[in-house]
Amino acid sequence: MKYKVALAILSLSCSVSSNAETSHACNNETISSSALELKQQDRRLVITPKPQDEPVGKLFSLEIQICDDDSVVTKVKAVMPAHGHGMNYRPKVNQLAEKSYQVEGLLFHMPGVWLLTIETKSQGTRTKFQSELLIKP
Amino acid sequence: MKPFALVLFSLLVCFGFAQPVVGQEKVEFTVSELAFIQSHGPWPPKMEPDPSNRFSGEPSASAWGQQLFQDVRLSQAQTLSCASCHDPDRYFADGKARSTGTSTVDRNAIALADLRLNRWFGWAGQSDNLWAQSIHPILDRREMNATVETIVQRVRQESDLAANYTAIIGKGPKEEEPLRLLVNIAKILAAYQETIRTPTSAFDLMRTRLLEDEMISEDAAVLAGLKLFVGKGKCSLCHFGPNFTNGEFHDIGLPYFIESGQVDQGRYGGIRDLKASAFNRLGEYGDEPAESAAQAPTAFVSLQHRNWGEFRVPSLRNVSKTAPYMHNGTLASLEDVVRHYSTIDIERLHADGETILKSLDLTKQEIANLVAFLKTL
Repeated sequence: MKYKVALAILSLSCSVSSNAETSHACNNETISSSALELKQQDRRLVITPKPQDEPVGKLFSLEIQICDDDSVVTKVKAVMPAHGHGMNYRPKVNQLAEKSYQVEGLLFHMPGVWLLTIETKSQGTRTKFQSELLIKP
Repeated sequence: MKPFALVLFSLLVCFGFAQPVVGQEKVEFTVSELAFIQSHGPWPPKMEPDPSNRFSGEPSASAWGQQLFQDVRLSQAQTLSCASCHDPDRYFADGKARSTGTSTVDRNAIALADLRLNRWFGWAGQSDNLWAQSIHPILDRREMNATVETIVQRVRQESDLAANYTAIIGKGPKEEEPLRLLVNIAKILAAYQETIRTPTSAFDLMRTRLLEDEMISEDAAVLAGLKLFVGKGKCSLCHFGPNFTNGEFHDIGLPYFIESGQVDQGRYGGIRDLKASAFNRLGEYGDEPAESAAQAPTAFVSLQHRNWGEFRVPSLRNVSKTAPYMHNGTLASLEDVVRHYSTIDIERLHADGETILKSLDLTKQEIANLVAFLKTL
């Protein structure tokens, strides 16, 4: 079997994968095809990593679009459950517009499965969205 | 991940790959292992100038920086230079466990090469840029032991230094504010150090042939060592990418103590020093636009208890030429390093730290294989 062919096939799959449902929903005009939709009961949000490639060992940001209500994003963190550690960086959450946020300062310093957690608050109700991200080498 | 891609991925993992090698032995690489092998190149990667240093990438600056790197006038007693511990004839290390300036320091002189790929500098990452890191040994009382006043006086009074300063900086040293003069000298030193590069290695050539499915002639031991590195050993998780480092910090079970009663805080102290430094990328001495500096990792790095005893993951390029190893130079050979990971005492690691490290329990042959591979880097 040819390695070149195999690696080319691998590279066709997106660099960030998730067990969450990938969606173009929320706002088709502004959300890219690499976005991930995260759901928690009747609430949902869409995240888009920027840049979308080579996330290992490089600072990147996330755009978060709140879809269904007036929640505000209060916290974003990521851990590697299998390794027992989180990121070495504390992301900063900036509100860009109503229901739209940018999170700066994320860095996945290892390939593998990272558990991303986004916490939101709406009228005293806190919601925790989580998604496993497979970060490939 | 799309269902189609998932199915293909699963199939490829199940089948794996067989790689014929010299003789009767075979080393097989899984798709996952091949992906890690691919991630270790290509070499060299593109290295952009340092945005925080306006002299970065300037040939005249790096040429003067090379002279300054070996200039003992940057030390108080005029007996030591940067090259005293970062010896060009020793791959910019010194071969000692702990280096000696005016007296013995706490850590090993890390080999200087490919520095534009660094996010952090020094074993504890106390600097987020190379020019700030270059100030440390000049002023450290156990290293070159100079003062700002000494450097200013010498650059102003020594005719060759003053002439070079004026020509390259564009301003006479007597017109310069003292601290800014020191920073400029450090930026010139950094402009030179950035030009120190490691060449294409035997591994790089092997990687290309492996990924292109060409016939390879490496020893079975080298390939078996590579498989351990990217597979069972999980070395690639921290020694990641083309430069064989993820640029971050880990506790690998080495002693906390420098000497009896004296602890090396490692990354914990490094972050505190970084945040307190006037010379980090968020400060006034860098040359990059404010919006660029605001995206520097220093703006986001977080101090955590587990940072105690963590040290920066070094690049493994040229590793066979830069013994002894680890931040305190306590491991004399690559065999010692591999044995350390093979028999690591996980009880020694932080209770709140990461759980990546397990003792690998390698056989004598596996240790030899891993060392054979490391020698190709």
